[in-house]
Amino acid sequence: MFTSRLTLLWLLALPLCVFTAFFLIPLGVVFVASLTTQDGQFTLSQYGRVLLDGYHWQVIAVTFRLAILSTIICVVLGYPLAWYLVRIVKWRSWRRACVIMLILPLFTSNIVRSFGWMVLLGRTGLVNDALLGVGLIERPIRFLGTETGILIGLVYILLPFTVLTIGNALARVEPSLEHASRDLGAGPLRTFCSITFPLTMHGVMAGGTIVFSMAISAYVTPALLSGGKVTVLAMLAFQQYSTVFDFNYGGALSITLLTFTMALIGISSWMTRIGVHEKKGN
Amino acid sequence: MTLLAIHDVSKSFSSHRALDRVSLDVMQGEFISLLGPSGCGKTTLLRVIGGFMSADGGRIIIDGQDVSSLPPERRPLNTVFQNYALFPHMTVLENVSYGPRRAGASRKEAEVRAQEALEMVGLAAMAPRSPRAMSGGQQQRVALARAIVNKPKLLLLDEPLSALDLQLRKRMQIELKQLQVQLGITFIFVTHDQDEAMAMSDRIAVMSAGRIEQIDEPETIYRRPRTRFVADFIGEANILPMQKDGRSLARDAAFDGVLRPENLRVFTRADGLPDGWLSLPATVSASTYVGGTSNIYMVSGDRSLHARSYGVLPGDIREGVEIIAGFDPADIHILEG
Repeated sequence: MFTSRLTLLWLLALPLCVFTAFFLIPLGVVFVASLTTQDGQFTLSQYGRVLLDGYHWQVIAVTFRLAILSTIICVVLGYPLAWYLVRIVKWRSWRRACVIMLILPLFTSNIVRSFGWMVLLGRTGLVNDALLGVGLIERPIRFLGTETGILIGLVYILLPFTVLTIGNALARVEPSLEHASRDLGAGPLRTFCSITFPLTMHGVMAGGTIVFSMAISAYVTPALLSGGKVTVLAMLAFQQYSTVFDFNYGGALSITLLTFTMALIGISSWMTRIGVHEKKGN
Repeated sequence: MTLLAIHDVSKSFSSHRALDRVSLDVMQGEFISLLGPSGCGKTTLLRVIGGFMSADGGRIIIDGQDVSSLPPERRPLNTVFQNYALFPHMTVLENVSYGPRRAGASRKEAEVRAQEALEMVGLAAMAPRSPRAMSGGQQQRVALARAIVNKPKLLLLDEPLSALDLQLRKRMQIELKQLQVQLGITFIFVTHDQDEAMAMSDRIAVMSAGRIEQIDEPETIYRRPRTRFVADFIGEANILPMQKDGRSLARDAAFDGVLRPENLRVFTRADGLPDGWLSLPATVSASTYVGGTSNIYMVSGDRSLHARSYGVLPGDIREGVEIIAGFDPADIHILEG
């Protein structure tokens, strides 16, 4: 027992060291920097600069709007896609091909993908050309430099995460549970709402959390597709670190983003738990 | 009165014929078992009746209504699933009141009815629990309560006892039969366990390769099997070559005669044989004594024989001993064709 516990400790030591060295220490450095002035004095003024400025609140609002909308769109689009892959596709090779198509964009660089979208979404890009050609619009729609453009780029990158987590949850739902529901007099829609969806809720939550945290901290996609006209918090933080070299102010921006993100994820998972309890009373 | 009529139902999976023009009439209040080895089509037939699978051809009529094209939720029946299929995110009470809720009952009314159904299966106190925290036997009862709460005319049971241990299974067999009589619901019970089917059913439909081989009362199935398959599948059978009249043994197999092991007796001398009995010489190859019954396995020519008797074997019947196997021709049953 003693030896095995010691072995366990040794086995844990390496990942623990990596975690400390690469996650906790850098985060600590950022956190400490955010609480000091440039010459090392303790101060809260960096946070004052962030939180007392109306412009920052505007940027925070844009950041969260983009992240929340991406999450919702990814879940709403991802659920039917996952359903298609898990429930409708019978041919295994086609399913595999679909999954590869879905995750293939993840193999290329974020920058390449964003430039791709810049080409597609431009004033004379493929999307506008097609819409004009079909006659759906009379003048080209401006995508670049708008939140819509950024949203398209984010959803494109993040959709696979919801499809995969929801698909995984869907595949684990026993078909006999849905049969039982139908057998007891529930139609297909009622069965989905009462049985299938609640049983895949953890997949939706997992996918949603991944998408939200990746969307809120996204830098490349918003930076390239914004054309400098839309700003998110990650872009502000990057500016401070890379051009202004104000690590203290940049740190405060980063910690602010982190805090808001954690708070929102916390609230949403708490609300889900409450929702489950409410459902129990049904 | 016929409650369920199945006409010429067929179902194929690619090249495999799972159901081959099956027809079956089930009376109101009857307990019918679909019995057969795995892959014989019994579960497929149950799914087609329940509406979880559509047949390639044929009709299903319940209580005079053709339900062949109706989805499961519109068929007047309920099902107990093999793995119980209890909803894991709901309590026992929610599981059982799901049916009445869907039938339009208010939440309160549904819960009252669910509680009644749970009382019937002896689980009233378990209502607020999660089914995940229950034993297999308890889950089985919840599944049963959920299936009878809407008082269906027809209950389908897909090997409901197969996951339980032997003791519990024996007890549940009796309880299930009592419940069926008490409620007057027609049961269609799928099983691969012949003892289970024998113990519970009014009639047994023995299935093989997508067809119903024979449908009869348990005793008739045992005493007068129609085919070699039924004879072999239900109990044990000695197959002997007989003349068509069943009075004497034939030299070259003319007709197959079925003789159950308990009707075959072992004699040490030919003059011990009662008048009118038939006999054939055999050599004992093995014998066993299992709690009250003895089994003697013999070889006669290229044929192996099995005799069963009650009590301990006489000491002189040992392996390798030459004996005479005898039987009363009245006990033998000649298979058709």
